[in-house]
Amino acid sequence: MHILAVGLNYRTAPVEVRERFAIAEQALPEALQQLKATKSVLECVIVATCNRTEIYVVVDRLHMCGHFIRSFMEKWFQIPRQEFTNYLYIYEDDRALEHLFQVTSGLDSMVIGETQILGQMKDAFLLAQEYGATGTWFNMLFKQAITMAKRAHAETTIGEAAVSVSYAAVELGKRIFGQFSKKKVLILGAGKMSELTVKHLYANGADEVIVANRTLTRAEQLASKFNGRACSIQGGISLLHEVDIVISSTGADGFVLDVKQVQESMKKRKNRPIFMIDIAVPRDLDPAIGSIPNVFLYDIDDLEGIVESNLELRRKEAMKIDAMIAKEIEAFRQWLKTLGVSPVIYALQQKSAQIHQDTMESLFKKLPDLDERQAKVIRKLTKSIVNQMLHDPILRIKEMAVEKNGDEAIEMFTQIFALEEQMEKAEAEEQRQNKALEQPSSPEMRMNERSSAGSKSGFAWATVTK
Amino acid sequence: MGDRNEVGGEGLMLTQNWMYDAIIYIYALSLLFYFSDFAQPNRSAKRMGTGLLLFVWGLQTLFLAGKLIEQPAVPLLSVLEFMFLLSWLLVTISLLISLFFKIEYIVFIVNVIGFAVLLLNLFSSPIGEQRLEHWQIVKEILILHVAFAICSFAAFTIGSIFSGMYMYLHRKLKEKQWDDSVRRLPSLEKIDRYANLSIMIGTPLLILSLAVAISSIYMEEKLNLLLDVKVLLTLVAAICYVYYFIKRVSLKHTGYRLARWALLAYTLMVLNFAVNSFSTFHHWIWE
Repeated sequence: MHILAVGLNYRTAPVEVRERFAIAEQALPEALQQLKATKSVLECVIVATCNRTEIYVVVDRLHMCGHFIRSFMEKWFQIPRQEFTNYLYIYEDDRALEHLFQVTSGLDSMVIGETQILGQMKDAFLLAQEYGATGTWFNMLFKQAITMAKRAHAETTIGEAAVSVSYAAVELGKRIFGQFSKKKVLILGAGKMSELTVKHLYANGADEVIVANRTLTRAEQLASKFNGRACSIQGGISLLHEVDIVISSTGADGFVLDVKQVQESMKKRKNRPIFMIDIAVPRDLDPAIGSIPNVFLYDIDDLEGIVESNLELRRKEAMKIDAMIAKEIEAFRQWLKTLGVSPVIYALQQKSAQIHQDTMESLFKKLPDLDERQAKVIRKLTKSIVNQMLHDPILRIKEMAVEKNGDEAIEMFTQIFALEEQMEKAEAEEQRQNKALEQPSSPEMRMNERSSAGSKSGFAWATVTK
Repeated sequence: MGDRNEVGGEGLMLTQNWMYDAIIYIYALSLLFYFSDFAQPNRSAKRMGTGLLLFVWGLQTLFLAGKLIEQPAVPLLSVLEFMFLLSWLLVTISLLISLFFKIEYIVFIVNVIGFAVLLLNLFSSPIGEQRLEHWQIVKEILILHVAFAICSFAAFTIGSIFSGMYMYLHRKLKEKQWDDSVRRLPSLEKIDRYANLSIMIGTPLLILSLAVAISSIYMEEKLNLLLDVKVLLTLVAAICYVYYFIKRVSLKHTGYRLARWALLAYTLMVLNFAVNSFSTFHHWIWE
């Protein structure tokens, strides 16, 4: 069996292509059922977000499975395959595992390290599980990927540093003030960028917002969004001693604020720290203001520098997570190997139990005078001998199964203990159970069930309304 | 504690006391884990460091309890006892900080000092074991004096670490040097608040310690001791801290200048500790 990851994302397909492959939440169960019914597919999970549509499948063979998945996509999205094949990526086995872990940890996201995708992956898995689209492999793999992603976010700082200019301003402000409650913000010039920054500051608890603009109507409009007050640019400058944070983007040709004005306001504000953000080009605030004690002046380049440094930090943290992913893939491989040994161990235990049972029956026939207690003691002791004899071989085969030539070891183990018959029986039983499980879940059956349920309820409704 | 000074005994034994050795080794290991987190954020290393530190605290507490049972007197009257108790106090405070506050770096820095104090203790001369019991003044007053001094010293140590942090972060923010340390340190406002709180606790304790000491000198009628270098230096340090508060209340200084002032006062405190050799009556340290 093999694992495949097939999909398109923001890297491989533009939004006008991605939007054609979006799957509405309510359509996902039906999509899962159709996919599960696709030839060669044994297990499946569909992840559909605004940045990606991905299909994870366990298939019984690699040959032609890409074709089958594309056929499913063609049918489901009603798009000819030649229109999307170029945007599609298909990862097999280890690469598919790596991709799954990377996506779940946020390493494949547009904003590296974001955590929203973790929730989306979890939801996609739970939905697939609910509709019976997952089995032994995906139940283990997705749980492992989700747990690892949680651990990655908890043990690294990948999601902590701001990666947008407006958030960088908030982060800087937090380095100075800690929190923004009881802090006043003055906006000089009601531009888009300053609006976004003050929005974040306000959301982080800023107490009061004063908007100063050349056009008072625009200032009033913006101020009303934050329950603030509006005034002229000069009016705003006269309030400098009252405020703790200044965001300036007036678009004026010269400096709006000079050193002298700030020095005077600093005297009035008893040297309390003030954080000034100049996002205007050309700059509004005289750079010399930054030399005044307790004035922290940052311009747009400084903020972009912070964003770049934060992105670099996230990339460094991503390397740590990559190392964690490599370990997880190895752990999953080991687990897969132990899956192969389980039926053999089960067969050995079944065989030994059968031998024990037969021997006991024969013994009790030969010794009919044994009372119940004596029979119990003999049964217990002989069972203990069997278990002790099997303990070490089972332990060894478990160890050998995860080693390089694990398959050969399992084969030899089967031959030595002559377990072929038990294995065949177990396989036949498994197939019978699978068939029994698969039958009601086939789409036709479900459709029939649904239609019959519908007709039943329709009949009931008709009866009631008569 | 007299038996712990046999440096370089047998093999890896630093002292003849296994518990003291265990404290030092586990403390060093804990610091290594903390250092790993200090150099590069590593939460599991930090957790490990905290666990080991908790173990160190337990051993130190047991060690002190053992001493109390062995000789039912407050273990404060020798330099070794003083330093051991100071180290224990610093470990206790750092554990409380890590339990109740999320302040990066502080636990590591406090414990570097705590460990240094323990090591200094280890490598100091055995003659330093002389106790202050030869003083004829009421023993309880002497214990009170040393206890206040030890607590104020611990508080000033924490305060000075915060002041140093403030100066560092302030400089980084002014010079727009955005790096990992800036991301991890608490805000300037918070650091300033903690520094102020620590110094606010330390100053009255220091003044109380001085007051107790001066009153005992009066009781002994040895007024010439008031001009002793240690007494004078302690007075100067106390005045520096009082001046710090006056400036703070007057709002004339920036946080940066106040932090510098706090560090200067702490330097005097450390100097005060080192000048015992010149003192006429505090020569119980490193004779």
